[in-house]
Amino acid sequence: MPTYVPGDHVLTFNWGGYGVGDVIVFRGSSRNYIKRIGKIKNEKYFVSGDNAKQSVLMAPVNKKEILGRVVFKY
Amino acid sequence: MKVLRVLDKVFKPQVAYAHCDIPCGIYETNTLLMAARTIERMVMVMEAIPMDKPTLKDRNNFIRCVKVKEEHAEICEKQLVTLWADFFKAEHFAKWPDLHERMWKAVNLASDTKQDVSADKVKALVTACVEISGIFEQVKVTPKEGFGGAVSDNPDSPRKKLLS
Repeated sequence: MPTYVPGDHVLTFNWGGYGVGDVIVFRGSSRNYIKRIGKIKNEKYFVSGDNAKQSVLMAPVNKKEILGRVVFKY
Repeated sequence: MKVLRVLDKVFKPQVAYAHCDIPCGIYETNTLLMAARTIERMVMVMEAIPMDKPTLKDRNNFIRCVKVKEEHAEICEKQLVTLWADFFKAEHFAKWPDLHERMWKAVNLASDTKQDVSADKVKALVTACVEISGIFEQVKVTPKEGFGGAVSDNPDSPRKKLLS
């Protein structure tokens, strides 16, 4: 089952830093994305979806592009 | 939770997408090499501009060169990081044990060329990018006729599945 389905609402916080395993919302080139942090290297956040076979790898995210860390969905 | 949903009617939440709509798995190093060479050219042009008594035109050209240098250093950085994180896999890092360090040094050189106008640093960047491109050429999978770019040899790559 997917972690999030269309229509889910999530609450994010943007303080306290981000770590591997956190689900974050970040600003992409033209839209916002919600992904999980897989690796952090040299202040770059490497993200991917939970469905490894379907998930498309994305370019790493800078901290300033992160809108917040998901704390819960409702 | 229902209260939060009611609040959302007042404070409209932004939409976030869980899926990228452009399939990846297509990689090339031409953009990287072009960006590195552009930085090299900009540094050459900037060094040729007289700084003791610059004319208005000299100042204008210098500023334009700085802008182009900055933009292409950013392109260089992004291309390098994409190759580092998305294209190169564990088996490549095992085959080339210094690949992580090469990538790290190249990314830092790209950043250095923003901060400095140094022919030596940009020459080192171009050399680093050419070497990384050489490794890329050795590991890329050539796609079938009709497709451009190289695919990742990641067996789970969506593009590789399309081509197989």
